Amino acid sequence: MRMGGHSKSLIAYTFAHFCVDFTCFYILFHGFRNGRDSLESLAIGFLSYNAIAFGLQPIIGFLCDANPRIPVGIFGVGLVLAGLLALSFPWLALVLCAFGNACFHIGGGIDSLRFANGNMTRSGIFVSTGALGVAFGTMAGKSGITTSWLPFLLMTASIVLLLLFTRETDPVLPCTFDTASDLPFAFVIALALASVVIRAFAGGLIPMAWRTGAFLLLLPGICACAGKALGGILGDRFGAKNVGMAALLLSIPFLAFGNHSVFLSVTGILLFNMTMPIMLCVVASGFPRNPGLAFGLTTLSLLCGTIPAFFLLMPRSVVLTVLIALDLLSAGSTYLSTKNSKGERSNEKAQQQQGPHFV
Amino acid sequence: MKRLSSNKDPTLYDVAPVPIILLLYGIPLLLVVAVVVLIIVAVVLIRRSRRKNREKANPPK
Repeated sequence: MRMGGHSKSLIAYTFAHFCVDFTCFYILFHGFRNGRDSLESLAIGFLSYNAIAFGLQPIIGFLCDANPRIPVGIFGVGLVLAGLLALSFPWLALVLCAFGNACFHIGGGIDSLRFANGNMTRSGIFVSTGALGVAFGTMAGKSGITTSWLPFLLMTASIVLLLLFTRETDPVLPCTFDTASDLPFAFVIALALASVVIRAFAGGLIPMAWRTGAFLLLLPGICACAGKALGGILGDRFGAKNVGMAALLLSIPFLAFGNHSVFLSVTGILLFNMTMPIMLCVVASGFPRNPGLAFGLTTLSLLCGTIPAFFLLMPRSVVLTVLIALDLLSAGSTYLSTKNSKGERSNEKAQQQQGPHFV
Repeated sequence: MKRLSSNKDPTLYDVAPVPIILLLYGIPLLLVVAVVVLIIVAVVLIRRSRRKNREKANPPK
């Protein structure tokens, strides 16, 4: 697998990604579970959490690109830990963990893009465990059985791992991704981000009537995790454009007709999530010296795609048609914004051309 | 809200839902406005970073 070196920092950030998302969703569900008007509070809490955690990442990313020695990942985990300690005050805990989540993602995102050596596998592996953390954290928070010792333990382990295996003193190299199409920069970025927005919105429409038991509730998260990791690995092997297009087009029948079939639906979810690291690397291709901003732009797009779900209630009769149309639209955006990179050789060539950029 | 503003002699019963209305509609709308502002900021950051990248790639002779 092409992870681009620095495998210890990747393992630390990947593990911490699971822990941070687990803790944040544990706090969200645990904190708002017993509140008055709990459904309304939970909805507003979620919207606020998403706005802070996803919306602030471009700004934090830009600041960290300009000041690469800021240990933003560890700082983020520390904030989430502080949120966990403030669990008795749900809104304070929410703000702390949302801001901490944003900081952590930027730290991990920069690490996954900067040391990727032009390969998508690294970012695929880093982003994958978030879905798993969300699924398990939601279950833990909802159950009310788990006490906060588990997230506390996970957060402490994350801080120790990040302190041991990440170094902000490493030389700052420009990213060398070669997956953006030859269209003008503005078109490529707009199309890539549009693809993320559409996918985020469509993701909320996927019908899953089969989610009944505990394991079945976790299954979409497990498949999303596998899909993201596979997307990076296969993207490096077969080309970003080929894999991105094939995954989105193949996912259509599985998602559309998998409402009552676990196998069809989870296959669709796995395929649907494969484009995530690909689009991240396409955006990063446009910002070789701003991996933090590139990562933040994709999360801001995710936010833009999820916001309508809080305000619009789609009639059941049109969900299927809209889902298929959006999937096709996202595939179209992916087709126009990506290209099949020529692998490591072209990246090495690009690196030679640009030369190391030490700070 | 219209019913409340047209009522010249509001009782506690009339006024009581106001904070809830503000909470349920005000916060989500505020967040949407905040996201729109964040998008505008992101566009500014994209332009700035693009300009810096171009300057580094083609330094003035």
